[in-house]
Amino acid sequence: MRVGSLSLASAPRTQEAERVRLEVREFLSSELRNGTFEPVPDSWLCGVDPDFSKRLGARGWLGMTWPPQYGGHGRSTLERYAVIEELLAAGAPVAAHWIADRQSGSNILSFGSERLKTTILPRIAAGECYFAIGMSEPDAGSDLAAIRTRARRNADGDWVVNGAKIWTSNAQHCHYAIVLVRTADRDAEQRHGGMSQLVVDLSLPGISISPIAILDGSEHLNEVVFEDVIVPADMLLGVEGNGWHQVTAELALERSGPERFLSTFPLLREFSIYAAANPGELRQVTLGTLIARLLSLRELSQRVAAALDSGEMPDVAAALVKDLGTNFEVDSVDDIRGACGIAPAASSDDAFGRMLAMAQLHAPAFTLRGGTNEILRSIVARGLGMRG
Amino acid sequence: MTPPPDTALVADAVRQIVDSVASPEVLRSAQRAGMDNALWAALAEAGMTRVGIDSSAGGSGGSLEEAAAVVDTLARMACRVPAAEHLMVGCWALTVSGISMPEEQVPISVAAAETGAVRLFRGKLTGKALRVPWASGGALLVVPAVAEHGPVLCCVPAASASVVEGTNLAGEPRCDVTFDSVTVPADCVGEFGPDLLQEMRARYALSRAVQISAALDEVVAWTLQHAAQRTQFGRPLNRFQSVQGDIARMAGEAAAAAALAESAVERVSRQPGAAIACAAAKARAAVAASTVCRLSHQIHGAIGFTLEHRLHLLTTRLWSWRDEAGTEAEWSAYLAEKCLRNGGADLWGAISEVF
Repeated sequence: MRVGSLSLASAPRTQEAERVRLEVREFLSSELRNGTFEPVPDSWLCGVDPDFSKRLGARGWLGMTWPPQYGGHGRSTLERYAVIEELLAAGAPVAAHWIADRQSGSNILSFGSERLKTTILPRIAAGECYFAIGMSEPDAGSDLAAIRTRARRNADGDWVVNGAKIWTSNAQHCHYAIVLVRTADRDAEQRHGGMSQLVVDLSLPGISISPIAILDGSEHLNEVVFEDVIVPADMLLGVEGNGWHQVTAELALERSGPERFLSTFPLLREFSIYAAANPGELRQVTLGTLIARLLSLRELSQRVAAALDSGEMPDVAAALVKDLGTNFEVDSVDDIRGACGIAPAASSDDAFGRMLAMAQLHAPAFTLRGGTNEILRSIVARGLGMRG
Repeated sequence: MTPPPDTALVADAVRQIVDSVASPEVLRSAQRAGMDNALWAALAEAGMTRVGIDSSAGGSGGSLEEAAAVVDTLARMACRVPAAEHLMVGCWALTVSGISMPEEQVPISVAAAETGAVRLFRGKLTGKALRVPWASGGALLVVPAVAEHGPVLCCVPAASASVVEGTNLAGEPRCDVTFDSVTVPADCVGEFGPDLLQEMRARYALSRAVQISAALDEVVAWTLQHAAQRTQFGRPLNRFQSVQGDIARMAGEAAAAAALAESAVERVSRQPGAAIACAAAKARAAVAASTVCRLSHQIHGAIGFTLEHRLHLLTTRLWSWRDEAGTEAEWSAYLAEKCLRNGGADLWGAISEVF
């Protein structure tokens, strides 16, 4: 990557990362032998399995990069990258802990009080404590600064929260959400000011969680309503009014990972098995084209991980990778469908037909969740100097 | 330990040579067919035509990364010299087949015909190779051929063959070369087994991928400049959201192509036989070339498709290079074949080993 701010050095291949990669592979084949899960696309959002998460925690594969004093394992970003890549490629049920391990924990590590760090991080690393993202609202999607959920201090100094969050993945299975709230009234001059992040215990009185069914009937999305919810003062994350800055850092983690191009990998693997059994030029070229795209995404994404590891803030490159990666995911469903005559059906006898149905019905979300591709391109445009 | 390659230094040196030899007007006339002999001589004088070749074999030393930096710089400046063929394929092929490097600094290009299309019988070379790049003037050609005892590589002057000159869309020489009982001295023939032949094809593809990714990066930069300068409806083009989105897409394609080309160069440099990495780089670069050319012309508007504007110098090359040394369909099929092991079930294992 050479154009201006998109320039990133290539990622080193380390022996440690390759060693842990093989350990994860061995673990996964034993899990598959024991029939603990069926590989599915989009498993990082739909595959909720707390027992599986706890087994990963026991192996030391959650909170990998955090310091040992908070239950972490002091491993490198590239080792963690190898672990999550293997889990995603296998379509393993990692959704329960995914958000907590990927971004909430790191966010708490960067901005949380000592008490938050010592009480929550070890539980995340053990695979016992799950987090939801409280950003989008009914009237604030791409325009995140338009959020209206409000937190005001009461006489005791605690926060009283009112408002609603939406599209909250797996809130019904989560213990906490990090909720972006207004702690000051909107100021047209300073759109990004006056926001703060609160760590909210989702079992508090006044919180109601309602599932929203998506196209395949599954209910991993929710609306979360807050009515006079009292959140203790010390659950403020970071600095009051600094919420926008903290969210931006969190989004760089949210956007750059391999889940932004591996959501459909289990389908690609089924296609590869199909193409091996039913050879044909169209299938071979289609498969090879998708492999080349995937390889380019892997190289880019690993570069972003390496840059994060060395303390850089590659938010522009992360946006670019997510735009390319999620388009690849959607295209892979279309291209695979076009190259074989398999009917997508949830009731299908074979895994290929079931995966095709699931991937197709989930595909519209790929280029929306975590920042729409339009927003991502506007971030890239700014990085290229096209916006003031 | 060899020191890390200093590609930026090499690129700067090459840029200075080009600037000193070729005026902007000369570069703008790059559409004209034929090699820029003055530039080649200046590059040779500075040792740039021996970069990446071991000093024991008569080279300037340095790594494949540095050779790729030379190729990259000359590609983005649309220079009419066969550096890609020479540095990344021709000189390597001579070295691995045990043919000594010529004393003179002549360009060495590649006549990669279909296996069996060229034969060496009793020291005479016969057969035909199509669309051979830069097969004119004083160039030498490396020609894989089948001899009595098996596959060999021959090194012959282009002038010894009958050459029908042609060009690609950018006006670069692409010639049909017929060898009609051309005598090849014994010291210009070397063993060249199927693995080496495959590696040569892969390196040839990689050299085009390096050129493509360099040109893509430059086209994105040119398009950014144009969109900042050109005003319509009272504002620069880069203030229009749709234009911003298109340029962001171009940057993404360029970044994807560059990442694979760079990683493939590193991979080949580290360890021979990395054909699969080269295949991925060429297949991805070709796809990126199509998208970037289309969008760059769209944003440049009518002036962009005139000969007076510089854009065509790179877009015509991109349209040509994406087809040369194997199209994306050919290399994608190769990639799939190599990844389909264990009945297709070990796709991830295969993918994770490419780099």
